[in-house]
Amino acid sequence: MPIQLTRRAMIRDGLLSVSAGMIMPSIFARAVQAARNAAHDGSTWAQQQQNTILIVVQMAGGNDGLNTIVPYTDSAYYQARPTLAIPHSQLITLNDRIGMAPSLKALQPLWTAKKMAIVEGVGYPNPNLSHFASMDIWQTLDLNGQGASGWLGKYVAGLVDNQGHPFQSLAVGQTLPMALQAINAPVPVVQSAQSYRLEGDPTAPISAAEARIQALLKLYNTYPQSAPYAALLDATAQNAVSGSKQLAVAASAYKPGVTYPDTGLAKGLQVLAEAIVQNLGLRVGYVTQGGYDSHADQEHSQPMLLQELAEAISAFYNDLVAHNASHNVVIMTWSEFGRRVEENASGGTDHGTAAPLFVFGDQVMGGTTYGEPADLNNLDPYGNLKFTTDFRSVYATVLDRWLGASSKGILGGSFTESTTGFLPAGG
Amino acid sequence: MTNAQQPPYPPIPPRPGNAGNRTARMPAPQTPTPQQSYLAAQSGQATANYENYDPYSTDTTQVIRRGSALPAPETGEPKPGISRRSVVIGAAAGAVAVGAAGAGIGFALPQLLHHTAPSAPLNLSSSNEWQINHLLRRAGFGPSPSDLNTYLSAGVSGSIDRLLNYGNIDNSALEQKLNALGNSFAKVADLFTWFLTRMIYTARPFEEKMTLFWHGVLTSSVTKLGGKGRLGWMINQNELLRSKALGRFDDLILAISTDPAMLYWLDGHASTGRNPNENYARELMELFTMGINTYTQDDVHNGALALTGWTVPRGQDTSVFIPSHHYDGTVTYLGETGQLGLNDVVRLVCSHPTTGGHIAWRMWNFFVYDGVSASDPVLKPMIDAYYSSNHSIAAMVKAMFTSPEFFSQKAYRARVKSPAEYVVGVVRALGIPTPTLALEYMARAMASMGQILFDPPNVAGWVGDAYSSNWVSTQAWITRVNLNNLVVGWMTGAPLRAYVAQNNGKTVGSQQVSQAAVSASLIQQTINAQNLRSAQDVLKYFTTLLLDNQITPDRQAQLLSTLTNGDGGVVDDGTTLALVGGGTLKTAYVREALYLMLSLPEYQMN
Repeated sequence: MPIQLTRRAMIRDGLLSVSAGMIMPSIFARAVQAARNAAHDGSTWAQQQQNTILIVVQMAGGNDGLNTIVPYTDSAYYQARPTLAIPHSQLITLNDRIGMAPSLKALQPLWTAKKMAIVEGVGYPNPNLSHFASMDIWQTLDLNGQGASGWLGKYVAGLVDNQGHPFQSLAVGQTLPMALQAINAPVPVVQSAQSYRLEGDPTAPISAAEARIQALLKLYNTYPQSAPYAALLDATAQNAVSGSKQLAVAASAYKPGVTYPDTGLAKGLQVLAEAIVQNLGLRVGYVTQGGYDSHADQEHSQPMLLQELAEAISAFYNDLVAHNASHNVVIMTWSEFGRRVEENASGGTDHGTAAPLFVFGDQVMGGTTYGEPADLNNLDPYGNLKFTTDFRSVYATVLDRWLGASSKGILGGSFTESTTGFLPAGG
Repeated sequence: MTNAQQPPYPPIPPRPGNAGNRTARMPAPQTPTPQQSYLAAQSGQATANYENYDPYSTDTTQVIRRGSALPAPETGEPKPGISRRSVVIGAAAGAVAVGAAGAGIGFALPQLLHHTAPSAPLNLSSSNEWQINHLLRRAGFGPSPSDLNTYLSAGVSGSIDRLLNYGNIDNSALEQKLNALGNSFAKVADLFTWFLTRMIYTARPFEEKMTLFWHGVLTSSVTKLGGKGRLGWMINQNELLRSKALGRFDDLILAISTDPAMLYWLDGHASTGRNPNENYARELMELFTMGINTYTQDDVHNGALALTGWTVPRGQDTSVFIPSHHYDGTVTYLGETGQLGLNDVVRLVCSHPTTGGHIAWRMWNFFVYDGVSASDPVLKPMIDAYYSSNHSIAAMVKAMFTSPEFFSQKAYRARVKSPAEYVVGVVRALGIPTPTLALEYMARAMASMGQILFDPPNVAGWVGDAYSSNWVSTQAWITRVNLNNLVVGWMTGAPLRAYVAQNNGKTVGSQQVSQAAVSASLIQQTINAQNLRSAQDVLKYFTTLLLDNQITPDRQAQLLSTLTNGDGGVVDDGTTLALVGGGTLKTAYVREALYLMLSLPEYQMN
């Protein structure tokens, strides 16, 4: 019986995944086969013609933008933050208006080398103060919270890849972020290279492993396609098998060019560096750092997180440089919202709206800011900043100028890049 | 669509002349062994090769990293990575932690020399076993062999009654297990092993399943308790959720609103009338009761004011109301104006017209199938039950399990198993022994599958609870099949053999290590106890227990062929398992077939 479902419901219900034969483009089925065949001999992959790479770092929980990039000349900032304000003397001064939180010290060399840009006042109309609604908006682009697939998922799904790289996109962690949800492309999720290995029978020789894998995949191939999530399970198993082989080869060949900090975020970025350095065909990498929901005791929690962020990104970038692999990588950060201008009585800040974000890379026209700063003297009725830069303009710049995609198709409309030109046009 | 009584696939026909001819045959009782002495004697030596085994690399010298989002089990304190961060939202360190839950293997071998005895033979030809298994998976963590016999005898509606009315079911065996565990809750791992033990050994599976459900709805996390020495707060909260799991929803919400772990998780402890903190007030409405888009920002603010006054005094483990911290002015909240307090807020949110639908939606997606919205007509009986029963959770749950949709084809194998359902389900079905180190290993494996108990990714809980496709990822899949590999190794004595070869004749704890321990492997005991006489019998037993007898003939054929001839993925090492009546099966082939059965897409689904 025909049922009207939103695309979101369909994806989450798996209805779009019920039949691999019906739903998945044949190019994908062939790609998976090609990946499997090629993976058998453990070969690594030459990159495709278009080989720009985007790394997205999600700062989950709502990062307080005002204590990240501080408008130190604005008295309204100090009035609203009697205990949380960072004095100018402690800031890393970036220009005659703003300074960077001292906890971001590790990013200073990137700023000085003009490889770090700041986009100010990023948000969207009618801000939603719910973490989850706002995260969905940023990830699916649907301001009504009805989005189904993620903006990066749409991009990845549109990539034509005859060779079937299993790591065109890669999320670090255990579960797939909404931004990378795609209808017809399996997006691998990797916690670490060590945990991403298929173990064989304890007493069988290594040579037997392939036969077991083929027996297992046969059982996935023949699972009735009408069953819920059948295609999802099949694609996941196949991607995991080919990916685990490639990552094992890459892991044994890769030697980090720097010492990464012993933090979750740094280790996650290291996995992505490994995929980049070993030419696994990565186009989009994704890693999440959580903990930014600083309703209380922000003075201690936020600097720790920002320091972790800065040191991890610095190590990641320097590792790429050491492998001569930084030229085609751009890193961007985002958080679902900034925080209330006025601090609360718990030494924290409540949910807010617009905030700055960062973009890094050799091709980034950095050492400067883009977009208008949000005005602390013109707040909305709840004491929140009014956004000046639509987040979709940032995406448009990345899609059009970096990933070689049509932002109009993915974003469902044209968004001006006039204030977000942090990458060369036509690049 | 109400083809409720039709099994989705044709059942495997019972073998003529055998099914009705089974008698209970209990194996000789094992001498219980003090766990601690085995722990002390644990040796990684015998398993070094296995632990580092990598089918794709000739490099077997790699050291498996033990760092992970979870605290190392050896240490007495939470790792700094967990205790220091103040996580409310986002995947945090857990999402990017480097762990090796799927890779490590060589723990606790000596403990595994001695097994739990399998139960009496299963009834392998019941026509409603798929419904019983389905019910046990949803209302619990899947069947153990003894469960299956109990619930098959009770029938479908008798089983629903038994599961839901658990108050009178004796659970003293679980209490003994928990006492033996002896957790002091001085380290985070104690929380995991405690809850896993409950889920594995409870005689009241629905009690634990409801507790897990509420844990994913009314969330709190071990990462934000506001100080050291407060890990026990998470246990107290878990007991709160358990004790009020099926009562009046208002009582549950009232209790959780002043629960110390919750007061810290959502900052209520520091919220005062002069300076209210909005965190709890918002999530109470958005996530815990009414749902999003049902309130205004003013309701958030005024709700926060009304809720002020509750805090946890320094050095104490219970919350108190401090009148001077409470806002005593007049507020307007959800349409009511007055000097409002906690009881008013609870009354208003619990009686709100969208709360029944929101909770029904959470329950349906968790217990039945994904993708319904709060306005789906399928929820109407549950919503009606909520409002007509003065907000009884038990009434809602009863309406859900007795809905024809619950046993429909649409619900069957419709949800991907959560990590807890998967890990606990494997252990319950196969009777795997669970020394503390094994439980800690399982908790690490669950983390790699995307679920850390007592540490949900954010205040909305685990996405997979509402949308089970989120439990599917390549990392989760690899971790699952690697866990299967480990489990079938235990069951068939593969890693034990190497251990015994090295330690033959030594006394470990009070037990002498001997070859006999290997031949008493769990799989051999199961064959004996279940009176399995052929490869078909072995297949039938495990497909009944694990797969409801619901697997297509071509797939049965592949598994039977693996049982008898292998599939190339294992090599016959000369050891055999004795079938009842005289035949043998090659141990390696049985191990491989079991690995495949646990790794089937069917088994990934709940």
